[in-house]
Amino acid sequence: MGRYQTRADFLKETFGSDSPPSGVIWIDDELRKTVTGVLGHPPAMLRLRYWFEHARTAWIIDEIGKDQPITFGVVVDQEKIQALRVMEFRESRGWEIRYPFFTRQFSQLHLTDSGSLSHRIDAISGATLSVNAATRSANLALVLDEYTRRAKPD
Amino acid sequence: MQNQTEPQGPRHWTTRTHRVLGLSSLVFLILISASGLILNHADTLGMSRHAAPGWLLRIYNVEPPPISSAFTAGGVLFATSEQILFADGTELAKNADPLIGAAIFDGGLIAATSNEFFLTSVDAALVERFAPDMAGPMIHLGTDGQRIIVATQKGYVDLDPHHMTLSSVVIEPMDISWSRPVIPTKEQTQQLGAAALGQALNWERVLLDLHSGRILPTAGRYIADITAICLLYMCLTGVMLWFRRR
Repeated sequence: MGRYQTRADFLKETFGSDSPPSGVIWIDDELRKTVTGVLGHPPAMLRLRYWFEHARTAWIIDEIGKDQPITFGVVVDQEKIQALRVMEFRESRGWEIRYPFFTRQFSQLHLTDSGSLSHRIDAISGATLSVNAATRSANLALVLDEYTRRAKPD
Repeated sequence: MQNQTEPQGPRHWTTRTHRVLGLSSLVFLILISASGLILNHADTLGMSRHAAPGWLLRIYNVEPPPISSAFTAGGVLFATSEQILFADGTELAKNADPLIGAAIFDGGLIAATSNEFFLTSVDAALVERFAPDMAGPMIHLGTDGQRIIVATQKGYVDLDPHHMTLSSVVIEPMDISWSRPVIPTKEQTQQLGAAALGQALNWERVLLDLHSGRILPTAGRYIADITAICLLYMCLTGVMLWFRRR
C-alpha cells in the first residue's frame, strides 16, 4: 500500500506543468452505458475531469481491485496509451502492478473496433484483480479520450 | 418381519452408523460444500463489495462503529464512519477522512475533508471527488452566500466548484457562515452505524464465517468440527463397507 505519485507530479511528468488546461466530461445516459460496459459497473461520479494539451489527454481514474480503489494515471496521445501509472495503491495485495515491467505493457495500446484494448495484458500471479482494474482503467481512458475528440472535433 | 438381507454384527453396526451419520450431517455437508464453492469464486462474484443485510449483521451482535463527523447542507446529512462518507445514509465514497464542513453552492452541495472536496447534486449523487494541491490541510468550510470559502493554515481561499480551482481571498471571517458539525438523531445514527457495519461485514466475510461455523459464537465451531469428524468417519466406514462387499 502506498501513494507513489501525486496529481501534480503526474501532470508535471506528462505535460511539464502541474496545471495544464483541464476539462470535464459529464456522464450522460449514453456515456454511462458505455462506461458501465467497460468497467462492469456504473461510474461512481457524474463527471470526470481530465487534462489536455494538443492531442494528449491525461486521466486520473479510481478503480476498485478487490475492496479498495486503486488510483491510476493514464496518458493518451494520438489515440494510443502513452503511459499508465499506479499513483496510489490501497489494497493489501497486488501492488506489483506499479512496477514498470507491468505498466509498460500498456504503452502504445489502442482501441479495437469492438472497443477493447488492442493487446492482451499479461496477468501477475496473486494480483489478478489489480491487473483487471488496471486493464479496465486503461480501456476507460481510451474510450473517454475518443469521446472528447468526438465531442470536440478539431 | 426381519429383513433377511440386512447385515448383522459389526458390519450391521458400521452400516447403520454410516447411514445415520450421513443423513444427520447432510444439511451441514451441503452448507459447507455450497459455501466453499461460492467462496472459491468470491472475487469473481464481487462478494467483498456487497454489504451483508442488517438482519444478518444482528447475528454478529457487534456495536455499530462510531460516527466520526457529521454536517448538513441543503437538507442532506453528510457523515463519515469507518473512513466511508455517507450522504443521507447512502455510501458516497470510501477512504474519506473526517469532514470539516458541508455547504450549498449554485448547482449542488459540497462536503469537504481536510484534503478533499466531494461535490454532489442536490439529491446527493456524487458529481466529483477532487483533492486540491495544497501545502497544508483545510480547516473550515463556509460560505458568504455567493462563494465557497475554505479556511487553511495559511489563510482563506475561494473555491470555484465548477472548475475546482482555488484562489486566495482576503475576507473578514465574521462575514462567513462557517459550517458547523451536527449531532445526528438516534435514527440517523442507527442507520449510519448499520450502513458502516454492512460495509465492514460483507458477504464474503459472512460466507466465510458460515463455512467455518464461526457465524455462531461457540456452537458453530463445534458443529463444524462434528460435521468434519462425521465426514472422516463416513470416508473410513465407506471404504470398509466397500471392501467387505467385494
